Amino acid sequence: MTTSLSVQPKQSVGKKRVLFGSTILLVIFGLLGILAYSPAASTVSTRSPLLGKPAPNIAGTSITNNKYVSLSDYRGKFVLLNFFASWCSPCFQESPALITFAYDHKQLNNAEILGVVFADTASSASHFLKSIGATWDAVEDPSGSIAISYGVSEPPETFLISPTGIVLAKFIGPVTLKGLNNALSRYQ
Amino acid sequence: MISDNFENKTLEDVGGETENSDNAIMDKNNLTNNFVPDKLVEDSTSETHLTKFGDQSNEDSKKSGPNFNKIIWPIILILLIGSFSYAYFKPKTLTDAQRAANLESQIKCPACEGQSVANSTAAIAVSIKAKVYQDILNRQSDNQILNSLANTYGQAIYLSPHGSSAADLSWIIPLLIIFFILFGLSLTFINRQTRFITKFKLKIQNQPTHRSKLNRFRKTFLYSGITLILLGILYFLGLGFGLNLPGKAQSQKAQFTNSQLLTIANFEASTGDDAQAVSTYKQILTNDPKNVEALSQEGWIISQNGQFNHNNSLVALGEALILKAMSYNPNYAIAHLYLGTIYLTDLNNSASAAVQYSKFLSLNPPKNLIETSKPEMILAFKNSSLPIPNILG
Repeated sequence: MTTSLSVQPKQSVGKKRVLFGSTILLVIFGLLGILAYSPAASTVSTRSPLLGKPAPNIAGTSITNNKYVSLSDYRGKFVLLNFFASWCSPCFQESPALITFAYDHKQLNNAEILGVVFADTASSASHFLKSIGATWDAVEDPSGSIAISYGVSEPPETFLISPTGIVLAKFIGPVTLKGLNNALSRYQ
Repeated sequence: MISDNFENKTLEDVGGETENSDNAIMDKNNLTNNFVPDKLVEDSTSETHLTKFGDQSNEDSKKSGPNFNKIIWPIILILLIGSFSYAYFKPKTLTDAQRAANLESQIKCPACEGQSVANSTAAIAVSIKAKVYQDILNRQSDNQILNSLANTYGQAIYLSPHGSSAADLSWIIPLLIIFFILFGLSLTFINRQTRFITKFKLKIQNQPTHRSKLNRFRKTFLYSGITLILLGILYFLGLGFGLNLPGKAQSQKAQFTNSQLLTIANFEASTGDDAQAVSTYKQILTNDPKNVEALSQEGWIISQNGQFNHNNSLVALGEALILKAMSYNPNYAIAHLYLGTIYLTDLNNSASAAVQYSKFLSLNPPKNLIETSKPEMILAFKNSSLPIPNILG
């Protein structure tokens, strides 16, 4: 009798304990879940997460003519944003394609090139542009903040930006005239 | 009525401490056994013992909700786990320098193969480091800093896989293990105690000496356990608040390291904030008066400001700082480049400039440094009628 009486409440207490323990566990899991939650970084799988997004703005004094330029000034035209440096051999290699592209589209008035100096001085970059016969504007980026905002690793890297300011394509390494025109025709 | 008296006395007994009170209860038990049916006595005693520490009788418990003893252990466990989490995972326990070093080691150098920006001198890696330091100084969280980079570089910016739910939750594992161990231990303790009480129930009922010993054992065990756990909670909370307690991994350090400060200063100089850059270089030199890079950079900025403001004493001060750097390390290439340019452009001394440029070129400097100063170097060699080195084309 004593045993049965002592077992009965023990089972009841056991059930309550399990229920209570489960509740506590749920609460703790919930709290830990909240603590653990942090928004995952972008999971875009393309080579540049910027594709299809508004191009980060660029503004500064052009090393070509000392005039103030801004990416927003180019609205209504395609823009080829070219990151370059005077010490970069592939930048020199791609220069004929860029010169031809600039000339062709100046006639059509539908696209322009804007350069961004990557880890280089204004004087060297300016000298480089003159040496290849480039007349387009280029802005300095001494802190590398423009390069970071475009996810640039090393020059040359080139972005095609739509007339409405959306990043359409990214080219890593020296561009070719065919590649540039193909990309442009795809979005025209 | 008699039963009520019994229950009340039992409560006193559990909280009681003297032999006298135990004897008094034994007498009362005997008295009770003489006047009430067995069932009532056994119900009362069994319930009383199952409540273990006996703050309330079963009847009281039913009226006033869950027994305190049933919830004290889970509450203590939650506090313990919570304080542990707070101490271990609280981001604010890291100094800015530690945060910067931690972030640098997670970010891949975009221009390198399998290398973090911490170990890279590539231009973009240096820019990213400078951005991270600036963001830290602007009180951005680690997630904000990493996400802003991932938004432009994609997931490839992380040296190891990052940002998945599984990775985010992985840190819970050690906490869960600790929780289950403690939870298991507490359940075992409760079960053993219950079994112990059941086993000796009859002895306890009839032998007040045993009962008194049991009560003392319970109390000692409970208070010791609670004291230890409270000490543990205090320890973890102390760690969380940044106290230098034994076992803490690293001591607090309010400043960035000199290497990090150099990146910050170079960034400030690159954005044209010369005053701030010079202030940061001075901070580095306070920590390390022989820091060759800080001396050279500060000297270069001061001399350039002197040239811009036509202040010869500033140019001379800049030159002196660079010469001081060269006295500590004659093979620091950039110091020779800066000094050559000061001689050429500020002091119109092409011959001395050419000597410094020759030394600079002999030290195998980075290609981009040669390219960026090529026009000045060619001019110096031409003006001093010296042959132009082949490396300058």
